[in-house]
Parts: sequence; structure tokens; C-alpha cells
Amino acid sequence: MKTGKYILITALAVGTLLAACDKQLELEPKDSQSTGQALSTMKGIDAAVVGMYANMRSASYYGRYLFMYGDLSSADVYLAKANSNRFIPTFQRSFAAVDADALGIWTAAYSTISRANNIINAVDNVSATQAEKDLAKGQSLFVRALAYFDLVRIFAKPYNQGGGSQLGVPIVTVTDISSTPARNTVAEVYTRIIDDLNQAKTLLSTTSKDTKVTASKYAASALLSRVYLYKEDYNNAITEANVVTAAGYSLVTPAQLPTFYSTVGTSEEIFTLKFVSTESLGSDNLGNMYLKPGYGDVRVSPDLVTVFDFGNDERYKNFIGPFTNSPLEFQNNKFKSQDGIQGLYSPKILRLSEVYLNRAEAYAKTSKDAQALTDLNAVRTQRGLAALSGITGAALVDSILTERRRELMFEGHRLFDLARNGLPVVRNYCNQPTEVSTPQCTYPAADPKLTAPIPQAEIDANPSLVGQQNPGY
Amino acid sequence: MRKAMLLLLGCLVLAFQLYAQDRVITGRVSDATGNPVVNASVLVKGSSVGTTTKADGSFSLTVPAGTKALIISSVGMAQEEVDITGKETVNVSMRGGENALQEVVVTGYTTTARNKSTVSASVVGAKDISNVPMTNVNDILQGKATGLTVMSTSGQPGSSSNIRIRGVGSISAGASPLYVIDGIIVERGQFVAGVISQNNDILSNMNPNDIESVTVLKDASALALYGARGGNGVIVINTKKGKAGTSKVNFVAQYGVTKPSVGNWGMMNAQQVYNYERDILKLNGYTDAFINGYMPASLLDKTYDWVDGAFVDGNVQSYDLSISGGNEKTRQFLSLGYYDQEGTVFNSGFKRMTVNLNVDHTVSNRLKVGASINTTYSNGLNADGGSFFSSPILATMTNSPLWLYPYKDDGSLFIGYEDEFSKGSGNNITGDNWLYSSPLNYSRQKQFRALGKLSGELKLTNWMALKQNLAIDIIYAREKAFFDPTTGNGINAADPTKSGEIIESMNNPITFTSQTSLSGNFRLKNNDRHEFGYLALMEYQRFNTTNIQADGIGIVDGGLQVLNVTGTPNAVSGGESEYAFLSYLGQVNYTLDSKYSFSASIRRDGSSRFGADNRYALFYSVGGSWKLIDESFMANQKFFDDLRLRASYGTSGVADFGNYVAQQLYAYGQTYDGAPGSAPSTPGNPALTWEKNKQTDIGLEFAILKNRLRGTFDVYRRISSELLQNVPVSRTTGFTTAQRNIGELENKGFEVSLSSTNVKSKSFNWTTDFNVSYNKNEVLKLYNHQDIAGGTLGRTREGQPLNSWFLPIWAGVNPNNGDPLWYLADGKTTTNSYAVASRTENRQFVGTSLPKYTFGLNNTLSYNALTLSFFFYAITGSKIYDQNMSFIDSDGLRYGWNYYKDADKNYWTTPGQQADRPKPVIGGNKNSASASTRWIESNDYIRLRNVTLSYSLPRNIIDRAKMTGARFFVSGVNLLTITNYKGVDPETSLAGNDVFKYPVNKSVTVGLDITF
Repeated sequence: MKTGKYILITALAVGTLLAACDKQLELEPKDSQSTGQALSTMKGIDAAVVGMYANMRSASYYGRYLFMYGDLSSADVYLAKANSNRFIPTFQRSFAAVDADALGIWTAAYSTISRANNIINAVDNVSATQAEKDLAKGQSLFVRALAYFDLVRIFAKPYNQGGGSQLGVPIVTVTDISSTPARNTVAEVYTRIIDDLNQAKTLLSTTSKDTKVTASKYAASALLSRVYLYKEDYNNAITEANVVTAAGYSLVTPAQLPTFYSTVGTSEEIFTLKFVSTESLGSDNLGNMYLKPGYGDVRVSPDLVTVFDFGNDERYKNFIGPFTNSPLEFQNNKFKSQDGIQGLYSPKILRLSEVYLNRAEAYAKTSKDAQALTDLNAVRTQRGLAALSGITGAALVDSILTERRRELMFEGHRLFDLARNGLPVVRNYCNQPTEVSTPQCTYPAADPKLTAPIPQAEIDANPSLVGQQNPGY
Repeated sequence: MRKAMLLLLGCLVLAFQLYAQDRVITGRVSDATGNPVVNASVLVKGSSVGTTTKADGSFSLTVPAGTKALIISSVGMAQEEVDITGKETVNVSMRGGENALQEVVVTGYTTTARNKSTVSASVVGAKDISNVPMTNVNDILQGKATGLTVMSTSGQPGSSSNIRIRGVGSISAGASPLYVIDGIIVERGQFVAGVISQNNDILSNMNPNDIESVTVLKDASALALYGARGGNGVIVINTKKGKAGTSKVNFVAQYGVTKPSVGNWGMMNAQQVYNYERDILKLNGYTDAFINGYMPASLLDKTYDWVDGAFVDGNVQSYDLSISGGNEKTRQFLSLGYYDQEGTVFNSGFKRMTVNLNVDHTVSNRLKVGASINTTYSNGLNADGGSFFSSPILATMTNSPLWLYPYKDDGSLFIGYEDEFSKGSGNNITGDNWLYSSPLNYSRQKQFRALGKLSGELKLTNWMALKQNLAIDIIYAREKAFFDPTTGNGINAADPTKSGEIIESMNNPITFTSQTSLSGNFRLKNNDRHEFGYLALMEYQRFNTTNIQADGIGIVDGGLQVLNVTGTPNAVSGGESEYAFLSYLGQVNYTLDSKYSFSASIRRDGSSRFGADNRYALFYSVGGSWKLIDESFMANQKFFDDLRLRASYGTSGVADFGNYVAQQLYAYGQTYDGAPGSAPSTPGNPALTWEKNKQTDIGLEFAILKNRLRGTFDVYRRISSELLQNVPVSRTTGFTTAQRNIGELENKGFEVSLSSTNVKSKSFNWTTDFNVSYNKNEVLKLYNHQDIAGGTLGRTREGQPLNSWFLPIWAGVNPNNGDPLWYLADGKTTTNSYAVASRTENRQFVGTSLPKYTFGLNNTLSYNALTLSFFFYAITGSKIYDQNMSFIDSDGLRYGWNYYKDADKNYWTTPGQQADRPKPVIGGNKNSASASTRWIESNDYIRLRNVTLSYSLPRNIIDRAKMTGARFFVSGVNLLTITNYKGVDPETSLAGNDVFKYPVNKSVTVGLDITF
């Protein structure tokens, strides 16, 4: 009898414990939330927007590589012979499909797109004011468009080399871990970008020219003007540029220029990806690729130096100087520091001078030479140069492209500006003792080596891409 | 253990009643020093009739007519067989010994008489564990248990080793065994942050001298008891408990010296470097005039031996005091330990203090309670990891004895980045003079651990006991890294106000465990041939860890070393993580005629780690044991004294992976423009589940030559399936990989252990213990049958073992021009290393870092009061990649570093020369040092792991001093290593890549062990 009681008590105790414990197996992490929960409120959506911008700061993307890519691939800079082993294939245009840098930017851009997609697909279901939702969705559409634009210009041939029917990059608008999308055409990718940006423009109607470190309606227009220029849709490029130039932005003056790149939020900026000091990438800061101490691997090519009017051009005077401890070489001083941190730079992704030059080029290519000259001179006169007059046609386009080269140097534009204009990359300063040797000194615009390979790791994991590798890899 | 013995006793008493009572044998059991052995089991040979000895070692047993012999056994002692023909009184002297046939098998949940157990387990007793001057019990176990592989990752005192049981059974999840201390699953591994330090293991906090025995569980019969966490094997540690009887006070003091063990490795001295570099310059076309100008003989005026500076001799000392005793009602064990080991790399070391208390109390004949508190504190000073510029270990290979001289003309030290630190430009690789920075900077790790356990056992009936265990495992793991503002790691040239840095971190894991069980042993009728045992247990375990880290920069003066003085808060972080397991375990044992035993178990594990669709896992095992020696057909044979066959089959799992990987998550911690944000962190996998192991084991245990040679032989096959793999996914998803249960591995092998009493006489005794383990590992299945690329050195491929080397094949030196050559896939050679390495068809599988055979051999010789024991450990069949050598013997690539001592031997100088080494070219000769089989070496070795000579004071002196024992000993660790391996240490981590490893040490200690 006594024994029976013991056993009963035991059974009860055990039963109680079992019931109490079973729930304990559902443990949620302390620093994370399930995706559904994270994106179920406006606060959660706003946090995800923050995370989307944060992703663009990756050293594989706007944090460093995107701003290196267009310049290292052309003739404006070179890799010093003594270097830290970074970006050699980019400089030599000798990518293997397994190249880590190409993989890095592919991965970073798509992960940005995935973060944008999640917001775009979830935001309509949360309870919040329409204005709040529009703001989050508009920014996400802008960022997605920017990332697709970067992908398509790096991993596909320029629009005019195939009229858009050539292979672009896969378009993904929903996050699905098991998806294996094939490449869309360049035209399809451009359509997606333009659609996204037009939607973004509308959704971001409440933003102003003072919205600089997040996407604004003007950022959407500014990017559209560039996208249309790449697409050779000049009238639309002009229309979008007009929206921006009428918004009240102004070019910085020569007096403001020295601190322009170390300051976030100047009158000229349209969209800047902001780094605060605690977000410094340390030795991986963009500027440290150009500076000693720092990697100091990348030096300014004499090819670029020769296009400057040394005496007058404020950009030369401020941003190109002798290299530390190697005075016969040239150093890029654009990205020296921000907040006292060497090499830290908040990339000014869209700014007014580019929009002027976009429009100048579009005008010149549609034979509106006078308007083109006005825009070109608007930039020149703020950079210490005399206004030009009396040039027309090809010479004018040439002047505009040269001005673009000077104005946007080290900001990742040069390769694309050459390629979309059918111009070759020509390195006159080539295979010199100071620099890493390259297999070619001239790359015609249609050279397959100017298009990066679809990363092998992507093809391995995505059977739809088998057979869709770019030519030459 | 004690409870189990009582249960066993209960069965024995029951059995006892059914035999005809014939005559009474009395006697006394004592140990080698004459002390009584309490609770020793006294059994009539070939039956289960028996009793146990009392506090004074005496026993009285009524034996049936015709009984010829008694079997006496006790934990930690060699089993004795005593002839009682015609005797009424016997006095038995037992010898301590770790025999293959010890009498019980402890699985943590259960304790079973060994001759009825179906489990394959290796037991290592206190004798083999205590007083070895090593911090971590894992390292002490090396070579002592079959099926257990221990590979040192660092010689830093307090560091962890790679431990594997019966091969490697996981690709990406944890492959280390589970640790159980006194029946409770405990945390293992590193909890300190490890800023730039060597690795660390919380198990180093445990004092090996507090360990009574370690049982290594290997087969399914035991591992299924641990369900989802048992798959990689289980190491069951039992701590010392009090014994009823006269109180014993034991004091052990040990003191000695340690030295680094650097094997066959050596670097050039300054004169050698001088000659070698001049020869290289000459060979590369420089004129004598240039060479004399660049390298004048005056360079040799001031030289520094960086190897000699980095490696130092240290002291090791330990003091242990324990008091044990008690009576039939209460038994207690108290111990106090202090251990202090200086590292063999400059400015490193480890100290540990331990306090333990174990109490068992019998409240009534129904209720027993027990409590144990095990508190430990360690204070480690870590050498900088070899991959850091500030590391003295790195400097032994990178710093030129010729070009780098640490002192300025005024006798003060260079900081390291000064141009003048190097006598020639370009010879300063590290930019840090550790002689300056190491004494100022430190990485200090202070760890506290408390293991507390309360247990109660209520005897409900003769056949059922209710047990409840509650345990808590608390760890405080602190680390402080300090970087003096004037040192290379602290200085901020761009902004001096930010020079100097302090990083403080704290990890605080807490594990709570509750075990509730019903168990019992019984026979249906008193005289029944059928014996039953059962266990029904519920276990709940909850783990929580919190961590916090703060980093401040900007220190005015190196003497100020707290966060409050830093000018700029650099970073703050913190986190928390949890898991829970809820498990139900059932086990039944059945024995017929004491000959045929059968056991089966089932465990259901639920874990918060598993995906919502797969939250519970079910594991089972079956096992049988057949005591052949008791069969009638064996009665007439004289060869075997014992013979038992056992077999088991069952399943277990591995759940050693991230706590939340099954969930699709957004992680917080992102920022933009000062705002906090979130981002996708885990793609999630609701089907994610444990990795599955299925194992078959067949074992044979035998004794021959009047029990003088005993042995165990086991063969096993272990299939590990549904292994987690990071399967690559399209990066357009925003992720690079997703975890899926895909892979499959096989481990199979055999294990033999033999114990032999070679000579047994009054004054001279000689015993030998030998073991060998063989394991063959093979990858059976991978995702999509695709290889897992392992960088430039390795690759995981179906059909190959894990940890395989996959490298270009070195073809030697071109005799015409001294160029390096590699083989292409078509058998031709090339000088283009990139062309070879970039295409997988040119690379071949050339072995694995996993050893095939491991051996342990121990001999103990005693002559009167003198005892000499020496223990050898050996491995064969593995290959290691000597990455050090690819730096220091690299044909001019690392010109200006120091060089391997033989780098100047037989290098190419003249056309036609058959050289071992390519022509040295400054800056490297066509990538001759790139990854290839040139750097693969066999690391077979035999090591004299431990040798101990001890002398016990004679009885009369001890008695006069009112002591019960006194012993002096001299002990040596790692004194001799026989190997062809050229590098620092043939013992590498599991990864097998020898690169700037903190070498293991060798030591000689003297000790005193007295008992009152």
C-alpha cells in the first residue's frame, strides 16, 4: 500500500514535469526574429530598410570594390608592383570564373536585392500609414534597381553590343532558397530597373533634395538619367536630368572642393551611402587602397594626369599629388579620411555634376550642342576651368567624356563610359617597372575580357546557368 | 558507483538464499600497502554467491559445498582468484591495476557488472591519470584508451586538443565526444573570447587528480543512451568519492621543469644565414663588390637568436590535498588543488585552483542523499597566436638572426616598426619586436567553473528505486586583452590619442539538468535463473549563455589598464543564446544463468535545435553478451580462464550545431546612419534534424595463462548519415549556402587491448599493457556527389577519407636550370605552378591527416619498494602538411626571413646538378614553395609519453612516522620522440597543417605522495 502511494506520487511528479518541459523546446533566438515576424510591423520593415543600406557598405560592393572596378579596369590607375595581392585580375582583365572579387560583388549585389525584395513583398501587408509604407517601398525599389544596374553593367555586355538581346543577369523578385533562375536579357533587366525607378519616383514623392543618405525621388531620377544614357535613350535621359537640375541642388564651389569628399551632406549630393565612424572597414576602407600607411597598392596613372590642366584644375590640385615615399608616382587624395579615420569614405553614388554631364552627353548626342555646352561649362567653371565655346559634334562629345573622366575619376565610372561609347581601354603607361604587368595594353570595347565572368560558384549551385557563361571564360 | 554496487549486492543477497549453506570462509582483503580494501566484492567462483568487505577489509561468506575458489574484485584493483580448498581463513592482498576485465562498466546513467555488460568501453583509472603534469585530462588520456584519438592543437597550457572516438563522424557539425561528469552531461570547449590568443578548453579547469576513472564509451549499446548527442562517443568522468573506513589524508606535491619539444626542427644561426644569403646573391649574379658592400662581415657583430629567445624553460608545480573517509552512514571526500605551469613560449602560463566536496549520506534504509560541489578557477596567460605579427612563435621563423637585432645602441629595445630595427631594408616582416611588446601586452583568461549536484535515492520496493538528480554547471569565462599604447598592436600612428587598446569580455554559460528515474534489479522468484534490470529516466537540460564584450582605445599610459581610462569607447557587444533538450530513456537488461545477457534501450530526444517538423528523435540499441567460459563445453579446456563474447547494434545522433540554424531568421545588429536594423541571417530549414549514426560492434574479452594475460578485441562499423552540409545555393537568393542533412560517412576498425602480468613474485613484478586501434574513414555520400573544395590543400570527395590532402605533385628540380617542376595530369612536367594548381585534374589525393593506427604501450616494473613505469604512444598512417617549411625552406621566396637549418643543403647551383632544392632566387623561384606534395610528410612517430620511477618508504618507517603510505617519484613527460618528420612536432591538430604551432612541452618533475 505504502509502495503504491510512492509510485503514484512519482507518476504525478513525472507527469507534471513532462507537461512543464515540453514547451521549453521552442526557444527563439535573442538577437533574431523569424523572417515573418521581423517583417510584420512598420518598425520591423524600417529596420530591414536599414539592413538593406548596410549591406551596400560591404567592401565587396560600394564599400570598396565597385569604386575600384571601373577605374582599375581602365587606364586611370595602376596596381603597384609591390602590392597586397588584391584585385590583380581586375587590373589585368584576366579573370578566371572562380575569381573571388567577381564572386564578391555578385554575392553582395544579390544579397542587397534579396533584402529589398523581402521589404517590397512584405510592406503592403503591415499596418501603417500609406506614407510610411510608400517611403519604405520606394527606397527598396530604388536600391534594387541600383543593384541590378551594377550587376548588368559588370556581368553583361553594354546595351549597344546586342541591342539588349544579349544575356544580362537573372531577375529575382522573391526570396526562395531553392530557386535557380536563368539569365534574363539585358533589355529585360533594363526594363526592370526603369520600372522600379519610375515606381520609386512616385512612392518617394514626399522626399526632398535634403534627403541625401537615403533614396529620394531625385535619386531615382538621377539614376534614371544614367540608366537611359547607358541605354542610349537620350531624350529620357534629358527629361530625368531636368527633374534633378530643377530641384535646387548646387555644385560645390572651388573653395568647398577640398573638403567635399570628406563631408557627408553637401549641396551637390543626391544619394550618398553613409558610413559613420564606427562602421569603418579599417584597412579595407576604400581610401586605404590608395594610401600609405594602408595597402597603397593603387597609384594614379600618368595617363590620367596628362588630361589635366595642372595649373587651374582644382580637382588635380586637390586630389592628385606625389605618392608617399615614392614622389615620382601619383597618389589619389580623394578618399584620404572622414571623421579622422584614414581611408574612410561615404561613397557619393549620385551627385549633381554627373547629372549635368549625363545631360550634356545626351544633348550632344542628339545634336543640341548649345545646351550641351551649357551643362559642360556648368561643371568646368566650378572646377577652376574656363568655359568652352565653339565646339560641336564628335569633338564636343569627346570633351564631355574627358570632363566626365576628370570629374568622376576614382568613382568607378571610367570602364563603363568607355565601353558604352564603343571606345577602347588604352593604357599608354603600361607594363612599366612600377606596376603589375598586364597581358594587353589595349582592350577594344567589345573585348570579352571587359565583361566579368558569371562566378563559377553561382553556376555550380544554379543549373539554369550552365551554358550561359560569358564568352571567353 | 556505490549505489550500483549496493544494487549488485542486493541481487547477490537474493541469490545467496537459495544455495545450500555449507561452510563459512572468513578473511581480510588489503591493498599492496596493507590498508584494508573496503567494499571489495567477494564471490564464489562461477556463481553469484558473494559478499562485500567491511570497513576493516574483513568478510565472512558462507559458501556451498565443493567451492574451490573465491573471486575478489574492487574498483581500481586487479581481480584476484583465491584457492580456498581446505581453508577457512584467507587473507588477500590486492594490487592496484587497470585490467581489461574490470568489474563494472559505468555509462553515466547505469552501472553494470562487466561480465554482464554488452557495452564496449575503455576505462582509464586514477593511477594513469593523476600526477601527470598536464592541464587537460584529454591529453593525459592519449594512447590509454582504445578507439580514442587525441591530437594536440597547441602546447599552450590550458589549450584544447582535438578528440575523436572511433574516427570522425561529421563533416560540418561538431565531431567531438560528449562529456559526462558524475552522470551529468556538461559543456566542453572554449568559452573565452580568444582575441589573439591560443585556443582554450574549459575542461582544463578540471583537476585530473580529482578523477577516479574515465570511461570511454564507443559502441551503440552505450551511445544510444545519449541519443541525439551520443553519436560521437561519450567520455564519462567519475570523480573521487569518500570510502567508509579509516579517514585518509593524502598530500601530493610535485615540482619540475618544462622545455619545448621541437623535434628535428631547427633554424639557421646568424653565420649560416650570412653565408647562405651571400651565396644566393652570388648565384643571382651580384658582384662580389656589391655583396661585400651589402653584407659586410660586421653584420655578424651583433646577432640575436630569436628561437632561443622565444622558447623558454618553465617550472611546473602542483599541490594536492585530499581528505576522505566516513562510516556506513556518511562518506565524504574533500580535496584542494593548486597547479601552476609556466609555458614554454615567452610570457605564457596557466594556474589553477580547485576545491571539491563530495558527500554521501544514508538517511534511512530507504533514503540516500548525496551532494557534490566542484569549484575550479584558472588564470591563463596566453602567448599570441602564431599567425599574429606580435607572436614570438612566428618570430622564430620570420625574424632573421642576422638582420634583426632587438636592441638599440643604448641598450633599449626597438618597438619593431622603426627602420633601424632592421640592419637592411626589407628584412622586417612583422613590424613588431615581441621582446618589447610581449612583456607589455597580454591576453589573460580567468575562468571559474562550479559543478554542483544534489541527488536523492528513495528505495520504493526491493525492485524499484526512485532517483532524482539536480545539477547545475556554471561557467564564468573572462578574457582581458591589453595592448600597450607604445607597442605595434596598440599604436595608432594616424591618431595617437587612439593608441592603446583594452578588450574585456565575459561569457557566462549556465546549464541546468534534472534527471528523474525509476530503476531496479530483480528476480521473479528467489531462486530464479532469470535476472532483470531496468531503467526509466527522464532528463531535462537547459543551457543559456550570455556574453558581453567591451573595447576601448586611447590609453595615456601603459600602466593604466582598465576600460575606464580609455579615451574612446571602440565597440560594445553582447548576446545570449539558449538550447534545451528533453529526453526519455528506457533500458532493460536480462541475464539468464549469469551467462547470457541481453540489453535493449530506447531514447526519445527533443531539442530546441531541431526544425519544427523534426523536433523529436528516437534512438535505440540492442546488445548481447555470452559468457562462454561458463558453458559446460568449456569446462574441460585449460586454455581460457575467461572468455566472453558480446555484440551490439544501435543508433545515436549528433546535434552539435548552431542553436537556431533550423529557423528562417532576420538578425538584428545592422546599422545605417545611426539607426539599428536587421537583415536575413539564416535561410532556415524546418526539416533540419540530427545527424544519424548506426553502429555495429562485436567484442571478445578473454583471459588466459591463469588470468595473467587478459585481452579485449573489438571490431566495429559505424555509418554516419544525414550529415549536415552547407549546400551551396544560388546566390541570387541572398544566401550562399543552406544547411541540409545530406552527407554520409563510414568509420570502421578494430581495437585490441592486452594486459599481461609478465612476472609476479614476492619482490619483483612486471606488467605490460598494450593497445592498438585501427580506424578507416571513408566519405560515402556528398551533396550531388560533388566534392567539397577545401582550398589549395585539401578536398572532400566520395570514396576518400575526410581530411584528405589534395595537391599538385612535386616533380623535383630541373637539373638544367634549377627550376621547380610539377607533374601535369598527362605525366609531363611543368614549371607553371598556377597551371598545375588551378586545374583539379593535376591535383591528386595524397593521404589524410587522420592516423590509421594508434598504439599505447605501458610497462610497469616493481622491485620491492621501487616501481618504474614507462608509457609509449605511437601513431602511423597519417600525413601532415608542413606549411612552416614552405615558408622557411622556400628557395629565396622569403629572402630576409630566417631559414630552415638545412635550406642551404644541396640546392641547385650548376647545370646538370641533381639537386634537392631549386635554385634560390630572391623573391622566389617560380612559386617553388606553392602548395604541393613537396610539403607533405609522414608524421609517424613513437613518443615516450610518460616515464615514472617511484619509491615507497618501507612499512616500518611509515608506521613509525604514523603514516599509512609515503612515496617519492620522478616523472618525465614527452622525453623522447622518434620520428622522421622534419618539422617542429609530428603531433598536429586534426587538420594536420603544421603552421606556427605552439610546440608541446616536455617535462621532468619530482614528487612526494604521502598518506596519513
